Amino acid sequence: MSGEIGSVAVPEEVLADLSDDMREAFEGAIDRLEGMGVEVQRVSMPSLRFALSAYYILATAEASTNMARYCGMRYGDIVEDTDLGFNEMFSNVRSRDLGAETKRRILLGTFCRMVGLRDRYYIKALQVRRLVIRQYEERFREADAVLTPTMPFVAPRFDEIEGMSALEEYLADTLTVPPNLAGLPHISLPCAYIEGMPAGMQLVAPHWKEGRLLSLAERWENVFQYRRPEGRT
Amino acid sequence: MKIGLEIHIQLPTRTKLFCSCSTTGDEVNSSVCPICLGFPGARPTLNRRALEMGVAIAKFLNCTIPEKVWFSRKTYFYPDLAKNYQITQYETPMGRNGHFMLGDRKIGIWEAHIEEDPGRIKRAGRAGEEVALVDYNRSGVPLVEIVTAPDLTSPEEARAFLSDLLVELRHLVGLSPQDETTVRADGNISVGEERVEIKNINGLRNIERALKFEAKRQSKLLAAGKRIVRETRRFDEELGTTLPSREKEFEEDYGYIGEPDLGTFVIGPLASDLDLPETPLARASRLEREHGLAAASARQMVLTSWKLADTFEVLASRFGRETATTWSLGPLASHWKELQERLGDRLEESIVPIIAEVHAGTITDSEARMRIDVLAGREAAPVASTAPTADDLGQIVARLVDSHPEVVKDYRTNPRAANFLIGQVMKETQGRYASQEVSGMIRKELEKRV
Repeated sequence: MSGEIGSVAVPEEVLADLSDDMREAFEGAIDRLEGMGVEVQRVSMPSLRFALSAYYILATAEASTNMARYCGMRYGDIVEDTDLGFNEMFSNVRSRDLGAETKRRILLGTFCRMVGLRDRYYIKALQVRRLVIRQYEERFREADAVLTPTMPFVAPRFDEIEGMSALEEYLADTLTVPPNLAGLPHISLPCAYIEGMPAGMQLVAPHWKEGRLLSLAERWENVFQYRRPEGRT
Repeated sequence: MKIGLEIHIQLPTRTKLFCSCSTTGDEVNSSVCPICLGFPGARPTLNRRALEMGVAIAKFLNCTIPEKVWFSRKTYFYPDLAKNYQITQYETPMGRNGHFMLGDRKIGIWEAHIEEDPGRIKRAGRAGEEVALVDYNRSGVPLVEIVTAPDLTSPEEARAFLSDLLVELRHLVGLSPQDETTVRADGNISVGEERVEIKNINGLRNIERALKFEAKRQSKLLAAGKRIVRETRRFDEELGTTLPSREKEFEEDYGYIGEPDLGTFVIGPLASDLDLPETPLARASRLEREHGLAAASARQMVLTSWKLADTFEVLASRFGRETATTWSLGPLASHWKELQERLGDRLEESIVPIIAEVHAGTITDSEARMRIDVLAGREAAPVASTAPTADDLGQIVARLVDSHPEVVKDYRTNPRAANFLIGQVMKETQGRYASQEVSGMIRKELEKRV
């Protein structure tokens, strides 16, 4: 679990999509890291821009099959007329009992794995995942970790979430999705406060190198003053 | 006529494909757990034995075996499928592009893969109030699916193929003989241009019946100048006919994705290190080749018993092909079951000396036959209640010689007349004494009286 982070790679691609305040906060954190003696490499990881799309295709494809069991047969409630054919009965139970976001993901995921579309979406997404993994591996040859903000914008409040579209919500995951897609250990640390809201930076390390992440987090706590998040008491 | 088969055979593992439940449950729904019931969050773990059997079958079928395999989710909604998807192999079957020799005919094998069985629907209740119940004991039981090329040319050949395949697999992975009735197949058959698929036929006999019916139906249609429609049909065992399947007529879309709950499995080394045992029909053709046995005899011998073939090979190496063939296919084959039951492990050591003597000419064919009969427990003679001693033998011999004066008379001119008495003694003593001992004593007894 030991190991130190002496260098980080910052992919330029992600910086383009940041909100202005987030970009400023993140650049501030980079300066502070350099002040701690961490070498910062400005790099290119083009695949990260496609990671979110790939993730939503794979995650919903999997979720749509995971959810298949909730059809009223073993899981879910049968209140329908049992004289119906099972297809109709299952459809009724699923239409009635599953929530909007679940249905959206089932529809999206089922679409992506249909004959004729599968190659264009599901298989392509698997290829993107391979590419993401490979580009991380390339970065890890030069740097100890990959550094990005945790989110592209400041965390929204609940009242702000209500006004967001599903797509906007998914976009919030742009930066956390790539390491999840690649199955790599990663950590998020507060690195700035924007109008009282915490902004985070995320470090991604190679497999089995969680120790690097923890020891950097410890060093970070010595130079960065954590604040309690704003909240009602 | 072109016939291709998709064959499903249960792999004889102790536990299910992805969980530790037993594959044999006495009571309905007694052998189930969160995994084979598809509980939310339950995770499958691959049964290593099933993987090995799958690899062995793929290798046996001369398939190209990939270095790595993984599993897929085949999604379809059906009441007997707990998760509403079946874990199977889609992109990476255990093997592809193999073949199986049916006699001299090479039958192409498109692929072989392993997968889990769904549960079973059982209908209960009076007509009109019928309910469908699901037994999940079968859910998760490992199956191997073997897909042939459309290389079979008649229903009879399809049956012969299946029968031979089962013989070989029974020996290779230890299938039970009941597999002749539990084997399931989908048959694709075309007499003319268009093919018809008959889904889910159970058992060897029904597979042949269904194909025969369908071949006739298609021929009649063609003879009447009609067209054959490409469709899926099912076989009604009671009526003996194929009927249009009630299922929808579009190509089903299973929306295959990789099974994220199982990893990839490196089987390359397993496959290349695996030494396949000689299978029965392979052995039969070797015996045919090496010992000049007729094909049917070699097959009969191997199918009678693996050990009979062992005994044959011992006899052949010691006494030559002719003696070995005569005795193995004759008296040994016809009493094999009894010989095995009564002699067990001592079978070979009991039989070989008899054949050695008859081969050397020290006993007659009929005596050897009789001694084998006795060993097999045929024509059982009274059994001595105490352990036999040489004295008992002396008494038996003396009594028999006394009661057959005609033999004593014959013996003067023809010493071979003694063989009759030897046979009698052997029968009475159930082969307890070595024949040299018996014949020695009889000759001694006879000499006294000559």
